Amino acid sequence: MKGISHFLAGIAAATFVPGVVESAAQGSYLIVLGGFFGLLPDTLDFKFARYFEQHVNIDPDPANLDPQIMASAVAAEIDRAAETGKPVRVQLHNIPLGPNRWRQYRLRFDSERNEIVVGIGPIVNAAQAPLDETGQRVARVKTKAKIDYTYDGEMVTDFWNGPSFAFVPKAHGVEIQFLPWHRAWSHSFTLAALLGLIAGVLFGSVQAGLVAFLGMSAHIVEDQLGYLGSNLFWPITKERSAGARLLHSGDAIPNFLAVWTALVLILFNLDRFSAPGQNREPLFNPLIYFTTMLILPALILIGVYAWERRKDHVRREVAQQADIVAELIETEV
Amino acid sequence: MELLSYLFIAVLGALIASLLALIPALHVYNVITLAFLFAGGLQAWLQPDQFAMLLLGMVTGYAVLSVIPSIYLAAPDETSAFIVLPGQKWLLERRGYEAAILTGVGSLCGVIVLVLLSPILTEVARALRLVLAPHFGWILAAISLFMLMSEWPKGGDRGPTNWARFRAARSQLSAGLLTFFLSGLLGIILMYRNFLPVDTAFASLLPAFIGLFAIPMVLTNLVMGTRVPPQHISASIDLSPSLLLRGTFAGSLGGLFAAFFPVVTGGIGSFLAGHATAQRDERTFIISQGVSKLVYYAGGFLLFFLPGLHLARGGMASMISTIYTPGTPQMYYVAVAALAVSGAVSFFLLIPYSRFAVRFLARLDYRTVNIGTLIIILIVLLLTTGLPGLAIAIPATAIGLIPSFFGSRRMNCLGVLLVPITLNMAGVGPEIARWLGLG
Repeated sequence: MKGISHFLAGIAAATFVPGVVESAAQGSYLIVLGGFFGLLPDTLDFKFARYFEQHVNIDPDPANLDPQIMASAVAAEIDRAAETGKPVRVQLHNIPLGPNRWRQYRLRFDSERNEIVVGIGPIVNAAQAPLDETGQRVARVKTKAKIDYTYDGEMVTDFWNGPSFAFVPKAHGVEIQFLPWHRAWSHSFTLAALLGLIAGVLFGSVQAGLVAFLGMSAHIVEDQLGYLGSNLFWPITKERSAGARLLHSGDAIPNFLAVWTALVLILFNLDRFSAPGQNREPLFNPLIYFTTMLILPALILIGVYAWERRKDHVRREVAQQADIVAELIETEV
Repeated sequence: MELLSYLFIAVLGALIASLLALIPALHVYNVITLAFLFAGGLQAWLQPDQFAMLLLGMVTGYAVLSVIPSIYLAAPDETSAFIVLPGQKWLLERRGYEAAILTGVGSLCGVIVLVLLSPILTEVARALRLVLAPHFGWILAAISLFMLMSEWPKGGDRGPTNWARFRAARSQLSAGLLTFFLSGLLGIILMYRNFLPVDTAFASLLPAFIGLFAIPMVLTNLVMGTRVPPQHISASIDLSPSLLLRGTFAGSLGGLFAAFFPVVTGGIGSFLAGHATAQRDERTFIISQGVSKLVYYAGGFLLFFLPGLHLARGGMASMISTIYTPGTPQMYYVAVAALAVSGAVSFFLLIPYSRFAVRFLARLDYRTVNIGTLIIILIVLLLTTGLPGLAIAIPATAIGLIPSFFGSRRMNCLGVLLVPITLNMAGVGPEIARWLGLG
């Protein structure tokens, strides 16, 4: 989900920790720690983990642009993974040609024919508008290994850098996984518990530990509602588990509903926990407040979302990969 | 009859703003700062109520029509390709006209939202103020933290080692932090030291804002030799009710948040609205920006008219609160009507103005436009704050240029407001000021 959804969910979780709202009303900023830990898992992935993974670089040469060479390089790494029985990670790079000029290319894994398809596209600017349509070519290269590819879309690379993949050998072929460094160790309840413990010791307060643990856990739970899921109990579990498949993490309505729900919960908790310190009764009647502010809007939005998705019969694996692509886009804008 | 005169004056304000909004980098608050310098003279012509309606019309008109310079004249260069907003991206795609009209549609939706909310706004604002007042400090700190944490690294994709890639990705993030820290330091200095003459002291942050935001944009355009392609004037816009509703919801949330919270500006409201919308569809984002801007400027000023509350939020309300307080509850509904009428008039002006901007850009050299803009900015700065204002604007410009050099977010310049106010609310502001030799 989007950063703001996670950040607010972290703060909302913090407002449930006894004493946190009361101390916030007295000037304590401990509650903000919830937001920090709410956004921490993606911060760890996109600001740190992605730079420290070991991968093979496939960096097309602008002076000798040949789709055959590019497709062969990808195919060779897939075959190497199959032959060695070990996962291989690959980073594809973009093709900058000068100020505001990039050569666009497309990559597709054809799992029916076990082929890698690379198409050299036009030269484009930052707005992805074509500047020069000449020089477009396509090449196909067969792999020896069987490809297990679940995403049906093409990967287009121009001014953003290219995608990274893990080629993981499995019994039924070499599985293609997008962004292997994302939603792994950083999105686990075990790390949340460990960081909660450290925060509790550092701040010398059980509240701080709980705020950290709940903030980070809120992020993991939100992500788990989608298709991709996370490696929930790393290092005990080794792979990302499937999500609950209730929503696509990049869709507008689920993100908006997550933001709204967090705001409604925060406001309710601020009211009920701050009221005694202000010598007043809480303003919001829980039944009326939650019915009008949360349940009714949520029902409407969920109804609209279900209506929009009524023809959305994509395979689970395809949706998983689409979700992770959406997460990558989130951090690039 | 009296109501009609108020509405007429508000429309007049919108018409004045519509001319001023076309002048690049000239903020309506700059003009109103000038107006306040001559407020004594104006009061001979207008009653305080009428003066308030004139300002309301001006703010509303500005909120709708300032989209023209912000889209057509904020053209990004290739160094900022990774950080451009959809409006500017559309300009490079020759779709600036469409972006301007979509933003205008968003502004119109913002007007409708404010009108629909007006019967319950007093009670909502009263309840929110009661609940949130003890929590303003940490909320501002949370906004700053989110701004800094949600800036993701661009670059660092190539390098001989992982550490080299990691370090390369840090440059833009570090520049963002440096911008926030330096603008915050500038804000602390300006809060504890007044460099301006007494009669313009109320505009102490104006030169800082001009330096942080307006001048760097123009200088970057001049240095990079930015060129804008000819624009296409489309006959219709592609927009579904679902996208319109999403943009309106998100923009309203961001705008109302910014309007209600002290120190939170329209820029932060738009930033939050942008994050709350799905950025895969740029139309939703562009609409949300129009809604947020209108709700922040006009809605923030409307809060000043709330019966029994008179919340002075935003620069406009703060300035007018020094000379005027709405006398009767009826003035609130007069203000709502004035907002609706001036908003509608401004929207209908947007279409011919936007066509004019497209033709103007096609005929005039973009470099000449930017030089003219810079001259106007400097004249306004000198007229409102004199040489001391210029002295503040120079270091502010240096800070404001950091995002242009490193491709980081310009939003970090809002540290000028967020840092000193958050520190003050945490109770450590005076101590830090003393430590800096300012106390």
